[in-house]
Amino acid sequence: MNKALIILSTVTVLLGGCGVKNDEANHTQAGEEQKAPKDMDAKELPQVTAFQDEATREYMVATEEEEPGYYLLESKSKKIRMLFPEEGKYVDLLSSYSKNEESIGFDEYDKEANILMNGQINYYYGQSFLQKTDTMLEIISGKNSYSGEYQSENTDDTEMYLGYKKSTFDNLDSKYNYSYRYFGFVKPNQSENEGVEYSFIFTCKDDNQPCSLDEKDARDKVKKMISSIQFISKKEE
Amino acid sequence: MTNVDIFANEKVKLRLIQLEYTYKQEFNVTDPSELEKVKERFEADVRRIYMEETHLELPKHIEIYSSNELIKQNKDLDSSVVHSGYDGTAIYIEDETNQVNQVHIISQGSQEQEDWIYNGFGLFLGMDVGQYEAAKQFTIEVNQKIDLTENLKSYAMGHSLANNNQVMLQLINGEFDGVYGVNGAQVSVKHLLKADFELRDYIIQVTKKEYVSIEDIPPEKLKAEIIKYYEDKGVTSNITQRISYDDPLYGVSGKADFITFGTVNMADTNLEVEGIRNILDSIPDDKVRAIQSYLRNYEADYEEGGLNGFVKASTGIDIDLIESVMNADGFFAKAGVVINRKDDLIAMVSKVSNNLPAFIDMFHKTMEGSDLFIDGLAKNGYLDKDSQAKVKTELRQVDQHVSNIEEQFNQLMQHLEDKEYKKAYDTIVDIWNEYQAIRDALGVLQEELEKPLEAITEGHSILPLLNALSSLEGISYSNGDICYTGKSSSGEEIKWNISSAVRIYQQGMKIVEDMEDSIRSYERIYKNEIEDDFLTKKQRLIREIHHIESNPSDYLWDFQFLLPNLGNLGSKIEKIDVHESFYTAPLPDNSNILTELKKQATENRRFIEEIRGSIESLFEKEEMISQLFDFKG
Repeated sequence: MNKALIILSTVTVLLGGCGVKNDEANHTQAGEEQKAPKDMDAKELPQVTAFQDEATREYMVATEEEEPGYYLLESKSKKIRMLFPEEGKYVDLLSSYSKNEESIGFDEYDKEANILMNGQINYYYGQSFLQKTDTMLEIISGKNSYSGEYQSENTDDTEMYLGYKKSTFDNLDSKYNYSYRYFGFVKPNQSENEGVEYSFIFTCKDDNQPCSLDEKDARDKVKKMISSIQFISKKEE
Repeated sequence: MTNVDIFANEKVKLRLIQLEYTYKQEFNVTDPSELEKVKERFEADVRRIYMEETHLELPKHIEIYSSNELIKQNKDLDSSVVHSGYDGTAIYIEDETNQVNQVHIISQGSQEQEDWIYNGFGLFLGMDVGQYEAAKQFTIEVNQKIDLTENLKSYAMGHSLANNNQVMLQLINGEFDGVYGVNGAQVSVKHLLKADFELRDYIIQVTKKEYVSIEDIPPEKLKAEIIKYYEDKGVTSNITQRISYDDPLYGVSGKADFITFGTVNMADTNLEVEGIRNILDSIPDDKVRAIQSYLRNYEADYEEGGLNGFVKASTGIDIDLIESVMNADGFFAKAGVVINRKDDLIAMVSKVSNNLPAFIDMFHKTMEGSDLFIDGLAKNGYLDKDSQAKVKTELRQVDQHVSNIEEQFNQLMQHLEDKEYKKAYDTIVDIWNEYQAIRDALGVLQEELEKPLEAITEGHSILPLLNALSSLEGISYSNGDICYTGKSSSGEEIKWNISSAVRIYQQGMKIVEDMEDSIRSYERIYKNEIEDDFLTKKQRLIREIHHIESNPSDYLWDFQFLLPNLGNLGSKIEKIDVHESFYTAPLPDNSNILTELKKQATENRRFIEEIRGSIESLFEKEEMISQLFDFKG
């Protein structure tokens, strides 16, 4: 009998709740800017890949451009935000989200310029290897077969390390048989506890088209994205 | 021949991997002197195992480093926040004269007690890159400890998930001169693409004309390109894997885009069962990938909140919330919780209505394959006919109950919309009953599947492999010890735990030697302190007496002072005559005592040697066994 009463009272609450829910729904419809892009209709969203691709949309914070051609992305773990190119498209194969790390992979294909970009951001939290920057950079060098130095720069909140490598693939039958790769590490000034490892690969796609890939442009683009990385959890404290 | 893998003997590797597991807790000490002691014990065990298997001694210079010491308790690192996905131990061996200079990294996998669902998630969905990075960090720290880096060889060995780490290190960094994995977790396409930037660059280059995104490459083509890349890179040839047909990880490695690198040597550890590989192989790849991509959405939720966290995220059902209602004491308390958490309850209903369809779809997809799976288990020897029928019935019922809930939930939403409160209430009672029925069915399933699951898990352990590899030699293993099979005089088979016998012998001998030492030192002390001392003192006294007797006048003053009535001033002493006699306490004849003590010690020694002798005579390989008895680790 007791059980029946609980269930009854639950129903009562739920019923009361239904009305509230409708009110709420109406309310949010009125104040549309409150809505996350993922809850919006595709037609209402900017007509760029970042919003039109369903999986990518999940990561987008707001429909306003932050900078020309860039929107704000937030990781699923809600630990970082960064600028994301409007034609960027989420890649499931390079992405994952678990307790101590989150990976976000994406492509961007500029058909006119014939440039293909592939990027990956690995956010780590509370891992031992984050604590010695030298070790972290040694690990990253290993993953890139890189023996050079890293260029280091600071923003107000972060320390950034940037490595660069041009790879040429002699045995591939391709006019554009090379790539530019940028990789490194971003750590927040105030925390030893988290960090972002990143890598961006740029290449020309089609042989029978001209390609306007330029090392400096590619580098600037990478710098724009990585210097925009904000560590959210730290800011709240 | 110089500096080749000193642990090339496979059984040494298997036993070292086993040994390393057992030291996990022991290495977890902070006190440096304690740590030294643990290292000494570990080293002694390494030396013993090596001797037992190869009948050779390891070089004198060995250093041990554990991940606990180099990472978790590294003073340069802030230990309060450190999470390391890596556990392992490095053994460094150096012998200049024989040109041995090598380090062996034993990475730790998962043990049976660990959370297999967690491991399963990681394995099935693609492991964290952090695992690789943590393993790499350990190799960096170990290499910093080694002074002699010229011509240093490095080898890796590991079981289960550890194999994943070491193979990744080998593929990405070409880190080792040899990698040995046993019943290992294989690496997946996704894991490699996430972790190896060089690989990703290459794959993009070879496929860019055809595919805009890596994601568009057909899985089989992608897999083939990756294998080709690493083979051309020349990092796969020195990977060796030992795998049991009965290992469940082997069972899954044909699926989920795993790639098995290196030379694989198979073994059958349990002739009564056939493993699960052929069952899983019969599930279509696209089905596996569909389940994978569904589960991937909820991986973090499982890690954070366990099974309830997973259920909450995937279905919307908040079991904690429901239980907080059910566990409240009395009607008013329950109603109170309901009212207090009204918003959560409302949110739950709306979330469930959103999420349930996808969950149910996935659930039915999984259930469709379950008959095939259960029949496979029965065919391969894990389930008997009765259990097979029972399990199938229960699964069908669970499936039915879930379908019912789906229908009832839709009805509930309809009733709520129509404001049919009585009907809504009845439907909730129905859902509650279905839920109880599922729980009962799961209970039966758990009971029926417990033994089969145990048998499947057993296929993953190292011990059955060791025994399978040694069965022809009449050798078996138990708790890190080596056992020899012999025949008693009546022809019965006996297993002798040789490691244990050696311990008894060596410890027994130690006791006898201590005893003999004590007897010797007693003998010496008795002679020095009692017999010799008495003589010395007696001689000294006699010398003194002689002096008095020959120089009586020297003692005049003493006598006058002591005996004032002796005479007037100016008296002389002309002669002193001492009557001497020397007495001691009545001591027994010590030589009898000594003889008795020595006899006892000799008897003990003979007894212990007899144990050794009888074991040696039991086994033909006498010479080798006597070597073990004489070996001091």
